[in-house]
Amino acid sequence: MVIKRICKYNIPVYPKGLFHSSPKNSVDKAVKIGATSAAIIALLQGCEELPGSGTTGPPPVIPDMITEADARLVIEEIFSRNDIQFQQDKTIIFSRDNVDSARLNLDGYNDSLRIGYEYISEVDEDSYNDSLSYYDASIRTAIESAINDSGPYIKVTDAISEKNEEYLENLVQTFIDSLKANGVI
Amino acid sequence: MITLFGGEPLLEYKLIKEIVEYSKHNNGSQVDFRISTNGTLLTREMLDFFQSNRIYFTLSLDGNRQQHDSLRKFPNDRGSFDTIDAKLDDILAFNRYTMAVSVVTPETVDMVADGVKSLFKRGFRYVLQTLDYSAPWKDDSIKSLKKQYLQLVEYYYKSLTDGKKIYYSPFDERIKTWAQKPYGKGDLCDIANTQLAIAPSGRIYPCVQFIGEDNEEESVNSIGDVYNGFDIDKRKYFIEKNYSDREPCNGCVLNGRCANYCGCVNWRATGEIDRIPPIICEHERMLMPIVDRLANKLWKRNNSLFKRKFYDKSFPVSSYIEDCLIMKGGVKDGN
Repeated sequence: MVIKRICKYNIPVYPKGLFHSSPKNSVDKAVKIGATSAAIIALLQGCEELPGSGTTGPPPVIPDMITEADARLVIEEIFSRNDIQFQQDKTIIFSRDNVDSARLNLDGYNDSLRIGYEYISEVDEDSYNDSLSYYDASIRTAIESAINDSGPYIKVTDAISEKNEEYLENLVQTFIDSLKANGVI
Repeated sequence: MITLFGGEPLLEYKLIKEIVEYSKHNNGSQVDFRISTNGTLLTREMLDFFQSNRIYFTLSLDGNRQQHDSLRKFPNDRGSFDTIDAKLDDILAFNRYTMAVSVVTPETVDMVADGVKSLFKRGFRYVLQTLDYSAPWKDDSIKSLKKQYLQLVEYYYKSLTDGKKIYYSPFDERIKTWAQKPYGKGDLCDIANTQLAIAPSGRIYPCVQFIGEDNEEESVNSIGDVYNGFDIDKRKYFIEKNYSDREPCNGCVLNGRCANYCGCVNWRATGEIDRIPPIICEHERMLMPIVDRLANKLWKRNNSLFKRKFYDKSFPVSSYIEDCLIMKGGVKDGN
């Protein structure tokens, strides 16, 4: 076993740092007095406007995400403009020198060009099958480094808000541009 | 707060009573007591005393009988699970929030998921689980542990979907480091500073992990004693060492979220407070993506309990009030 820094990591989707610590122990102490006192103190703390403090009120609402079906349409449309077609739902064995080999279930893959893509939709997230390796930090890093190396050239995208379809388009186009720049296509 | 630990502190129950009475007489209600116990010696009388004095305890319980009895045995080699199990109804009636503390070793790794589920099904709401970082972990054990965690992810997800309030430290604490705030220096392990351990000899140690046999040889780790006070220089050394950067972790995106902070765990496993055993890094790199994926899913599914737990400052209190109201109404919640 080794100590290994992780330099690239899939940024979590759930919000970061919305919660901030309350004045020390005040609610804990109030609980000893009684639930009513504690509740009042907790509610009053929620009204505080401290610098850097989190918000109170209704928790944030999660946006709807682009479905896998819609993502495939967007992604494949852009690739087809560049004369690239994919075999659907292809499994490949991905291996690099510094990681264990992993089975990648890709939404689309072109065997001859060794180009593929995977949009990690909410449906994918329901599957905790060990073969789904996209949340393994070392595998994810290796997939990205392979793009700038000898391949395979796989674009992995996390679920994107349906209000951000343009962002998905830009991601795919940027990926294609980099393949052209590197002489892959 | 004073935590009484061992060995097994209930072996000295009479002394505990004396300490508590002495403290009440001299300090009123200013001192809180906690106990870490294996539960085998608990009696009804002890629970009544603890209740009267608001003394809470954590219970060392490794999951189900198979997991627990594989390592926690009486001197006659008989497992201790049944002894504790017979007391659990009383323990949970005394305090439904009693925390079960479980330690995972390479020998018990394949039993983790079933063990944790059985604790929650038995009625525990809080399960604190950690690895024995000083054990000889191998890659196969980590892979097995990963499978166990993946099983528990499904259980945790379903529990929150069903509105069941559970706390499982490997998941909850890591989610908090993103949803709330990352660990700062001294946040959870503040050895020799706000956290001290006093051994029966009267020697003061940075943490319970340094006590060992509390003999002359190991007194090198003590930072003073109750008769003469602190050795200022030694105390300062331990504090500064624990607060120092964990150099191999600089630049790692998981720094601040992982368990590299604990100086005493590091010391137990490597002999150095600021040297991390590789098992910690291996474990965190394996676990963090699993936990973040779980949290992503709960967030995207708009799970109300997830949002309350991790984003609502008043959750501890509002949850407690809910529980009180549920119990008063005679309705059993999902727990």
